[in-house]
Order: sequence, then structure tokens, then C-alpha cells
Amino acid sequence: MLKLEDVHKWFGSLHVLKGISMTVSRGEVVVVIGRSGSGKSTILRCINGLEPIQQGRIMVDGEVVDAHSRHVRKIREEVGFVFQSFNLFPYYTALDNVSLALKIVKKMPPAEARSIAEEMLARVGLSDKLDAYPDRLSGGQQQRVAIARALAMNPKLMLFDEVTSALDPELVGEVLKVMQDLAEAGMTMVVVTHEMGFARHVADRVLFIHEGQIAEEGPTEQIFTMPQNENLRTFIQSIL
Amino acid sequence: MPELFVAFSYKDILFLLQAALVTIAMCAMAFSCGMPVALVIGLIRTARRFPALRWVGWTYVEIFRGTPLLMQIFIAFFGLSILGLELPRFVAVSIPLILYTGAYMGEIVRAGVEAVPRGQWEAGSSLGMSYRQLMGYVVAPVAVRIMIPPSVGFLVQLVKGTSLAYVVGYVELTRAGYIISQSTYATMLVFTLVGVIYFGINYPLSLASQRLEARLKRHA
Repeated sequence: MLKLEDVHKWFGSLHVLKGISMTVSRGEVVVVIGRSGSGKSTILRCINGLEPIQQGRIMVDGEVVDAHSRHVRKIREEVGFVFQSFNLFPYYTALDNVSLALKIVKKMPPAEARSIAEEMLARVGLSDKLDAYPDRLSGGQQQRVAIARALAMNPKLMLFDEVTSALDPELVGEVLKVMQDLAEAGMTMVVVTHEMGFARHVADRVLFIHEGQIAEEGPTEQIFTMPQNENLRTFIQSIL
Repeated sequence: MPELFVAFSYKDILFLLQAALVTIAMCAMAFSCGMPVALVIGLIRTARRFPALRWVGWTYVEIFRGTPLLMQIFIAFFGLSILGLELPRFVAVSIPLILYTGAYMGEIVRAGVEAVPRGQWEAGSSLGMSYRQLMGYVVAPVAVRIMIPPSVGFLVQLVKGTSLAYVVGYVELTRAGYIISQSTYATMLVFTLVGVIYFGINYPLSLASQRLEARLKRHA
């Protein structure tokens, strides 16, 4: 489903990704952990071409991701991305946020786009907020609209970039719940998060990124109960 | 005092009002033709991937902002006729106003587009939107709201700027005031009236923009 081969990324002279190789199979939930600045968010941003890579190869469902080509738009339609800061369109209602890309990118008739958007908002528990503008929604609700917006495109793969980090603690649960439901429904997901509880319960596999490299990876239980890497051990201790 | 105004009649007021219409027409012309120029200039100034285009936009803006409008009107008016282009006066005066509008509004467009948070672009692109779709559906709704106050500021400046067309003998509001004051000697009265008329054009613009701003501010 997703394959990274020796991916390198520089920001100017800063070498942020130093040869990342990983694969994610269909239906798998992979959680990426690591300290701030380790490069974990950059990996996600490279996967859907928001950031170009300088070396290596990224493949989504057999297609090469090239941030500079027009084709990357086709790939992005199939890869949902949820941001830390929600990034809802402020002058569109929840419903329009979700249906906009269906109408203009997928060229769906408005009625069809609307019914899909309603269905997606129902799925994230926001059927009563269809006509609300983002400024009238809580952070947790906004993030759920953002998830619905990505889901509406019927993606093969969902990327979550620290989606609960900007939320008040009491709102984190509702977003994680939606993500857990999604995982249980068989969605392929790559999740960058600091929520270790979520990682333990939902992830099939965990990747620990340290200084732009995968320092350790393995099944979730193994990572948390028997970490091998020294950095991972101190990281887990510092978080738990 | 009264004998000073003897020659001043309602006909003169009509003449001034007529000239005010000319001023408004010039503004409308400059603004409606200048906006497409401004859009092009503003957008190429934000084109990250085309440095050459960005440079063209930058040069254009710097030239038209860095020189007096009066000089631009002179050059356009007399320069065009030296080149053998005999254009109607209205057009000859409008050309520098259009280019001037293009430069100032171009900067407003650029600033508006650049003020749209990066996350908005990224959210749109991650949904597979093209540059055009991003601009039209995601960036524009945010940018236009940011652009309203400086645009009205510019429009007010433009209304006053059209008065410079009097130097080439074009009869707009200021020139009309000059003509009447020459024949009636009621200089103070005439130019006070001219000022009131300019204010009468600009003040509703400001009011309209305040209303529009308040209306569009909802959900921000």
C-alpha cells in the first residue's frame, strides 16, 4: 500500500530524513513516535507530496509520489491528510468543508456530494453541526470535521499528523475515538502522535524515529514492553 | 461680499456636478480595467516557482509606485501623441490611472494572498485541488476579506488622484472648478464646493466598506 525506500530530505543544509525505509500494508495501522524535531511529521508531509524529497522513492499503491508533478494531485485524492491545526476553510460550513473537494475535485453533482458529506459528518458524530461554521465549533469538533473532510474523498490511506496536540485535554478523547473506529473499520493509517495510550491500543506496529532515522520498529507490545534502543527507552520513560 | 458671487449661478453647480460624473467615470474605468492588471501582477508576485515572473511584477510595481502619478499622466498624455497615437483624451488620461491602479492594487492582492495561512493551502492541496481551485475556492474567500480595507483606502486615493488629470487640460472635477473660478472669481466658494463633492464621493465608499467588512467578518 505504502512504501518508502531510502528517503532523504533536506531543508536547506539541514538533513531531516536520513534514509527512511518502511512499508505499510493494506488495513495496517502504523504509529510513528519520536521526539519533537525528529522528522516524524516530515515523513507524513513527504508521503502526500506536501514536501519534496531529494533522494529515495515513495510509492503509494504502486504509484511514485513526485511532489513536483501534476500527477501528485491524483495521489493526494487517495491519501487523506489530517493536520495538527485542523485547517478547516473558515468561510465554509462544516457540510461545505466536507463537500467542497467532492464537488470541485471529484466533480460530483451537488446533491451527491451533500449526501456523502452528511454521511461522513454522521460518522464522526456531527450530524447536528452540518451548518455550523468552524468558528462555532470546539477544537475537537473542528478536528472531527477535518477527518470527515479527508474521509469523504474515500482515501486508500489516511495520514494523521499530531491531530490531538492542539486540543484541550478533555477534547482529545472524542477525536481518538473516531480514529479508533476508523482503524477498526479496516482503514490503512499512519499516525504521528504523542498519545501513547492510543498507540498501545490501536497500532499494529510502532516506528520510533530518532534524528531522521528509524531507530526501532516492531509490533506495538514489543516496542513498549521490550524496547531495545537506548533512545527509545529514555523516550518511553520520559513520556509514561 | 455678495458682489463677489454675482456671476456664480446654478449653471456653474450643474457644470461641477457634470464634471464630478467625469471624475467618477475615470475612477470606474481605472479601477475596473486596473483590477485585472492588479490580479496578474499580484499573482505573479506570489508565484514561488517562477522567479523571472516575480521579478517582472516587482519591477512594474516599483516603477509605478516610485514615480509621481502626475509624471505618469504627463508621459502617457504627451508621450502617446509624440508616438503618433491620437487617442481620445479620456482614454489617454485613463491609461496611466489604470497602470497606477494595477501597481497599487497588485500589491494589495499580493499582501492578501500571502496573508492566507499556509495551512489553508496545504489543506486544499491535500484534497487534490489544483492551483486554480485552491486560489478560487480556498485562498480567495480569505484573501478578499483581508483586501477590503486597503482597497477602499486606495480607491479614495484614486478618486483624489484623478484630479491630476487637470494638468493636461482634461475637464474633470478639479479642472471644472478651476474654469468656474476663473470666470466668477469666487475661488474660495468654488473650491470649497469641489472639496465637498470629492468628500461626497469618498465618504459613501468608506461607509460601504465598513458595512461590507462587518458582514464578511462573520465566521472569521
